[in-house]
Amino acid sequence: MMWRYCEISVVMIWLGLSACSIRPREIQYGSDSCAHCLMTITDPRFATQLITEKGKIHLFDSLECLAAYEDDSVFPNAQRFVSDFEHQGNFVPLEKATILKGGRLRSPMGLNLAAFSASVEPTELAERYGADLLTWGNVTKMVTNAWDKGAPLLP
Amino acid sequence: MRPSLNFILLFIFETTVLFGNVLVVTTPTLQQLIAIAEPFDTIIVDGGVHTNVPIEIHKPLTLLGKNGAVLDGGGKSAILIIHHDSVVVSGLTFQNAGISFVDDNAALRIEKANHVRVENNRFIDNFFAVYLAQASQCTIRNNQITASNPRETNSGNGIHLWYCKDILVENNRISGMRDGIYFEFVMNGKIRNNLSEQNLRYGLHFMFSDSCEYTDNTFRDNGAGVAVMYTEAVTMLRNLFLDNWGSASYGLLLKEIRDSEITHNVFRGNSVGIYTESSNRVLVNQNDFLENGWGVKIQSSSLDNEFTANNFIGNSFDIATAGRQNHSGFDGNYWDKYTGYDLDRDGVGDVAFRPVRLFAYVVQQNPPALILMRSLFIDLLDRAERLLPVITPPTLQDNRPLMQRIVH
Repeated sequence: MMWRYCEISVVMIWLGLSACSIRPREIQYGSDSCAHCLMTITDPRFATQLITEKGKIHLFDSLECLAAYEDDSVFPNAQRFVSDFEHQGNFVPLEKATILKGGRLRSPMGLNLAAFSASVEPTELAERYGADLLTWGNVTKMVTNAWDKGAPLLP
Repeated sequence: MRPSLNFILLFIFETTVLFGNVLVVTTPTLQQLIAIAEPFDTIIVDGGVHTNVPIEIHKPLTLLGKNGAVLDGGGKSAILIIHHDSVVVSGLTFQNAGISFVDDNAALRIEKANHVRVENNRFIDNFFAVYLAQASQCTIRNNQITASNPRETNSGNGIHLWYCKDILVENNRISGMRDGIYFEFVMNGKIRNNLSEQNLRYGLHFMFSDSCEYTDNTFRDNGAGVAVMYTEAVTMLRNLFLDNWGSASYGLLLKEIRDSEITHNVFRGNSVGIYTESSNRVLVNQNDFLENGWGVKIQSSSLDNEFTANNFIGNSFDIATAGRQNHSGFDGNYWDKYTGYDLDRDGVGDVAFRPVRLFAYVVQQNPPALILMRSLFIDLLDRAERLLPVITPPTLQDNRPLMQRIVH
C-alpha cells in the first residue's frame, strides 16, 4: 500500500512539474552558446529564446539568430521570448515586445535590432534611441534577405 | 576643477619654420589646449592624471604622453574621441572608461576618420579600449591592453572595428577583455604579431568581413578561442592557437566562411582544434594539430574544403563529423595513429587511413560515453569500423597518408 502511495505521489509531482507554464530559462552568460551562430552568449541585452511545443529550449544571442533559426526549420506552436534591452536578464514574450532597429543600437549580429517591453510607448522608445520601429514580420524578412545572400553586404 | 600642477607643454611646429616655437602652457584642461592648438601641432602631455574627459579632437594633431601621463575616465564616460584625419596618439595611459549599457564607451574612439595612428599606449580596465567606427587606413600598434573584469556581461572588446577599411593591427598585447580583437564589417584588415590571451570570450572574432588576413599571432587560453564567422577570403597564416580548453571552446571556430586559407598554424592543447560548420572552399594546409581533444570537427554542411599536408599528433580524436556525408578532401596528411605500411618506400602509406573513429561518432551523439574512452570494447569497435565503415562517412579517408611527420 505504501508503495502505491509513493508511486501516485511521484506521478502527481511529475504531472505538477510538467504542468508548469512554459517559461524562459536563465541563461549562463559567457558559457551558453547560440543555437544558430554558435557564438558564446555574453550580452544580456540581446539574448532570445525559442521554446518548442514539447518544451525544448533553444537559446540565441540575438533577435537576428532567432529569426534565422526559424527560417531554417519550422517550429509549430513555439513560444518566443526576447530580452528587454533596458532591463537586463528580463525576458518578455515576443508578441508583447517592441522591436527597434538602428540609431544608437548595436546588436551582436550586425542588423542592430533590440527588443523592449511594452511598458514604454513604442514611439517614445524609437525617439530615445533614434531607431526605427519594426514588426517581427519585418525582422524575419530582413534576416532572410540579408543571410540568404551570405553575409550582409559591406557598405 | 582642482588646479592642476602639471605642466602641459605645447610644441608648435610650423610647417615652414625649421625650429618651431616651444610654448610651455599651464592650462586647466587638455581639451582647452587642444582647442587653441593649430592643425599639425604636437601636444606633449607631461605626466599627471587627467580626469576632465571625454576629450574630443576635431583637427589633425599629435598627442604624445610623457612621464606616465594618464587619461582617466573615472568609470563613467568615454575618454578620447578622434573625429578628424591624421591624428597620432602615442605614449599615453588610458584607464577606467566607463561601462554603459547603451553606448560603447571606449578609452580611445576613432569616429569617421582616416590615417589615424595609435601607438605605444597602455589601456587599463576600460569598457572598450580602442574602438574604430567607419574609419580607414589607421594603424593600431604596440599597445598594451589589459582589464581585470571577471564578467563578460559588462566588459567590451580590446580592439573593436566596425565598418572599417584598410586597418593594420600590429604588435599589441591584449588580455582580460570580452573579445581581444573584434572585426565587424571590415574590409582589408591586417592583424599581425599580436598576443591575445585570457580574454573572456574570443581572442579574435571576425563577423561579416571580407579580404582580411591575420598572421603570426598567438591566441592563448581564451574563453572560447578564435571565431571567424560569416566572412569571405580570410588568410590565416602562422598563428598559434593554444590551450583554449572548455566544453564550448575551440582553437578556431569557422562558421559560414568561404574561399579562405589556413596555413602553417599550430593548434595545441585545445578542446577542439578547428570546428567548422557551413564553411566552403577552405584550404587547410601545412598545420600542426597537436594534443587536442578533437583535431578537427567538421559538420557535413561544409563543402569542398581541402585538408592537406597537416600533422595530426597526439589528439584524442583526429577528425569527428556528425553525418555520413563528407564533401571535403583529406589526402596527404600525417596521422600518428596510422598503422599501415609502405612496401614501395615512397613515403606514402599503401593503404588508406580513416581518421574518423566510430567512437568519435558515438561521443558526438552521446557525450557521456566518453567515459569508455580507453576500453577494449571501444578499441574493437573502432577497428571493425575502420575495416568496414558502416556508420562513419565512407568517403572521409586519406588515400595518401604520409609515413613521416611533415617538417614545415
